[in-house]
Amino acid sequence: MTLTDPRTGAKTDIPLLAVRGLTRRFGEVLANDAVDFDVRPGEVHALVGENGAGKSTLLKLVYGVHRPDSGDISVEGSPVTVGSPAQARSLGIGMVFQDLRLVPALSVTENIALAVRGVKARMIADAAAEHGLAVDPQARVSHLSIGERQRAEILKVLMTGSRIVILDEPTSVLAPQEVTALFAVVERLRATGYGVVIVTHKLNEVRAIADRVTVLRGGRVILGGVDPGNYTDAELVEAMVGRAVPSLPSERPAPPDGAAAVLALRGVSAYGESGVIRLKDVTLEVRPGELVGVAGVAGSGQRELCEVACGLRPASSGVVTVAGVEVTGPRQALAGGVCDVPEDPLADAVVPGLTIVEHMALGLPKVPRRRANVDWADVRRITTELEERVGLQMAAGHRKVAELSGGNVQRVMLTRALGRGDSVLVVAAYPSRGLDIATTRRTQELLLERRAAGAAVLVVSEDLDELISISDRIAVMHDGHLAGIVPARGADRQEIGSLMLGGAR
Amino acid sequence: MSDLVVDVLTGAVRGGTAIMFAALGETLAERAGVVNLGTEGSMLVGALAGYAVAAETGTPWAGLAAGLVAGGLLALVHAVMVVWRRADQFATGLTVMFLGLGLTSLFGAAYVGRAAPGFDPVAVPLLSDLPVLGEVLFHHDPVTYLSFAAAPLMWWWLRGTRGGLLLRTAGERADVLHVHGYRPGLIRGAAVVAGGALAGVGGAQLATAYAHAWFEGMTAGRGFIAVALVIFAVWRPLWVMAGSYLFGAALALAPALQARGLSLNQFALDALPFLITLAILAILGRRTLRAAPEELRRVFT
Amino acid sequence: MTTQLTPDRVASPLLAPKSGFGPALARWVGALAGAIAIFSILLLTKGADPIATLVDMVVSTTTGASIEQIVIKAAPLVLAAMAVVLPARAGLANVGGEGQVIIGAVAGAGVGLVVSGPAALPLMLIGGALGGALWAGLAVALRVTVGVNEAVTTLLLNYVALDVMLYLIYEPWKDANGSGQPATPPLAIEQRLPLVGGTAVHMGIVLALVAAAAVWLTLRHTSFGFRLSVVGGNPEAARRAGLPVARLLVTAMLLGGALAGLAGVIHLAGIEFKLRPGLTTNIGYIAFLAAWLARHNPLPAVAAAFMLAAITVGGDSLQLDSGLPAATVNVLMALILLAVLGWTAKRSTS
Repeated sequence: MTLTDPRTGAKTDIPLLAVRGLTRRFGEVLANDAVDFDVRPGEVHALVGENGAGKSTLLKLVYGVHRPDSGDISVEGSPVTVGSPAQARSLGIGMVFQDLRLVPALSVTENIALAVRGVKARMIADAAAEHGLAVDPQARVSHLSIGERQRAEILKVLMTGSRIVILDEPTSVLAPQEVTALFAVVERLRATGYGVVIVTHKLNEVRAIADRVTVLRGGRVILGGVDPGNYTDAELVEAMVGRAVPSLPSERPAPPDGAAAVLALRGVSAYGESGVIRLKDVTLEVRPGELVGVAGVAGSGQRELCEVACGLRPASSGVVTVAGVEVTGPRQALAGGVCDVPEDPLADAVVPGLTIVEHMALGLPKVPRRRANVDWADVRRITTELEERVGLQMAAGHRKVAELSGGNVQRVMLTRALGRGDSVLVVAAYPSRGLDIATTRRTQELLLERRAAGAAVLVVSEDLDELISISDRIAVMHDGHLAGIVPARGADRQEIGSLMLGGAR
Repeated sequence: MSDLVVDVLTGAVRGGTAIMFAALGETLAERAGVVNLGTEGSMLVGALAGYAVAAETGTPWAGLAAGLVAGGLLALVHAVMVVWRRADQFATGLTVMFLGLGLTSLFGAAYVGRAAPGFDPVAVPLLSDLPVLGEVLFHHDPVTYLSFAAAPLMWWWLRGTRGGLLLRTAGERADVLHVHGYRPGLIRGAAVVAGGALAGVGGAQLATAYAHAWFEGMTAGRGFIAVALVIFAVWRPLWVMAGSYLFGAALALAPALQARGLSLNQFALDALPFLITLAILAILGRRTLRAAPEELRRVFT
Repeated sequence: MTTQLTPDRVASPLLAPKSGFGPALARWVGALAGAIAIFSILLLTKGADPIATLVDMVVSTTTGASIEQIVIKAAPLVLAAMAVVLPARAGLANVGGEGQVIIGAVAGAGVGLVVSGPAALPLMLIGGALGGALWAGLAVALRVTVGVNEAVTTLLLNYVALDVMLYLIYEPWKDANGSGQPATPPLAIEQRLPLVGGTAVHMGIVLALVAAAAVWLTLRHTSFGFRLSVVGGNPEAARRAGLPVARLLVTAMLLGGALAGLAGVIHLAGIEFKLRPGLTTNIGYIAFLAAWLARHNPLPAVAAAFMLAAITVGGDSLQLDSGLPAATVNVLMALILLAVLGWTAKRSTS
């Protein structure tokens, strides 16, 4: 067997990792249906597909979290069985998770020591220099930025001796400039003979970094290991979605000029969960019929911004008003027509054991009462009404929300927040998280419908393309500050990126 | 008056040792992400096993070993329930405490009022002649001398060894251990059992070195104080050591004052350790929770 | 896409969550049989014949007098179990039943010392409920203001409550005409709970059952009950829905404390008639176990309270017939609870 010569970049025909006919069924669902996939030394192979397309299952099969029902996995040409993540790593398969498996309370060195016995800070510093990954081995992970954590995680994977590096949606939490830096690292890995698998749903990233692309849909391979250069964007999207997705209407009436702001923040600061100031002197107005997008690297104060707007977090200084009235608490905000889509539904809004109908009652400004009890018949009626108006196909009303899949939980959250016809302010954090492309499109339409009905809409998203396509203006956060506000039409991604990283405009 | 201070400080070390062992044990369990209210029960069975085995074999060291084993075994029940059966930690802990209470009254009746060889104070040569410190620190039973090393040892072990790293990770992000091929359940279970064993040693010290007797319910809530103590010592062994001596001092205050003819209300003094604990918890408030291991925070809120 | 790293669980028929009455019954029977088997082994090591002992225990609970005993013991247990069930719905672990029962009895006795005549008993009941609520209120106040876990504080307050009672009965409230034992003077006849027609059972059981029904109704069929379950299920979701979380927590805990306090008064005014050391015989702790046995459902908790009362009464026969200490039944109770906690339900996924 010949391995790649990293300097010439010559590729052998023996893939580092190859799966053939991988099938895995969960109950009724065929999550992976005879999937073929491989990655060769010195190449970057992009794996794309919608939520539920089977990417996650494929990764888990390769990483030993699940066992395939049938099919083969081979590493460097020899067939293997991957029984556990530890075994996967011993075979040279390394995974960088989207939610980064680092222990925040431990130092970088301690975290890497969990994977690599007896590792010393010195060795980590050397490896970091070798791969071009700037990381301080002594730093506590909780003190690192998202980008630094990602680098530490990649370093950990490399130091365990992985030859195959799987990056699970690595760019979703990064600013554009950080993406550039990450891709430089990936380039370097490619040049030194690593096989890199990158999971993404952004076509521009596929084009920027991938040698080949595999598109999954409904558990099947639609395009298998093709050169993305041979396909148009529309063809790739159609491969992912199964049909052409109509684009959003690009012409929209401008928000009325001169109308008094619905949401107004004046010099607002607020503490975050850990007791440090996370929102710093933010002044922002959202007018009726206006949709303002919020961009920023994860953890730049977006959460706190949404929470002060909904009365969920007191401002430590400054004033927050909705329709001219100072916001004092969640009850009052709800009654005043503020609807929110929470950032993390499972942590923030889902009550284990309660049904969809019961969750709907929680979002109502006034819960209908019948004597001492909630009038559940009325809540059921309202639920049906909201569902019909929104059209997001929720699960049946008696189902327990905690037992639904992420996408279905999100549908409940969206129906509850966007179904209200009388909302004056909609605050939506990552509204399309976990949704397929068609539902994402419907959600964006709903947000624009609220805007057209005269509500002020504030949308936080990590997807700049989404923000550019639906917003009137984009507010960019950096380290708790409002770094700048730019018009969405004709917005310059690089400009937004440098604002996200704290650079001047 | 300085006489009183020396008395109270000496008593603090004497009375705080049992709580310190229990609290260090609880520290292990909680750093691994498990609250064990059964610590009270582990102390009790440790006390009975320690006293009974000392009585039967004639050597208190055998009693100490028996206390260690008994405390660990009772904690094994908690470990199995909580780690593998995923039962509620508070309810299980309390039930385990109850089990300890029942078992010790079932098997302990025969040892009430019976004499047994115990640990007697041994003055450390030279050091015991130091002014004040000699009296406070170096006129104690051998188990107390062992305890001087226990907290620093645990501090070093948690911080500097691979075992300590794994245990801390189990208390912070158990699924990370899983990713690296470890079994977090096993690590947690081991931490709970080791913690119970330490509480058992504390119980044995209480019976064979402090009280020189066995009677039903003799731990009188010390195990629960240990649990609270770990919280306000923010899960650090050296703070646990300091906190234990604070309780020892609260316990020693009453006899020291009474010996000087001051009549203080016995019941107010009995309640003192509990009131001090409540007061400190109230003062520290949320600050302690922020310092808690992540997995533990989920249990507490 | 978030990658969950939980491995596939082997689908064992024993561990898999099941619905339906048959398998549930089988699990319960299996768990209880296991607990009794372990208890039998312990009895053997003490030289007692387990079969004879267990049969004795069961038989001794079937006589008319012992059935009355069971009902009498169950009355405060039912109330104290409700004191766990109600706060549990809001996610609060009230381990302080014991202390709240004691303070309830102390407050009731205190009222009894100063009030006589027909108003005495109702005022004692109210006083006891207020006393229990106050004691629980201390713990929940620490929870909502400074965020201290209530399981730890309620537990610590149990010991303080005991010292409060001991102080009172050894000193200011001691019965000067008594036998020298530390105790308060006995309650006057009109301060005692009347008996249920023609039996030795006092009216406390009626009060307890009414309270249990009220708790059930409140949790199941009121908007307050719904709000409590939201707070208990996910406090952040409750806050975001605009519910007054702190107020709900405080209310649930105060009501719980009041129920435990009532348990203390009816124990005092129904059967004990004076405060003495060892007054509560672990009522609070046993009730905590009963509530857990029933997984915090009010009506099953009533059944569990009766069952544990029966075991306690059976334990008295243990002492008489086998010469084993009465506290031996604590072992049986703990074993049963462990079996039920660990082996009768699906595993939670936490």
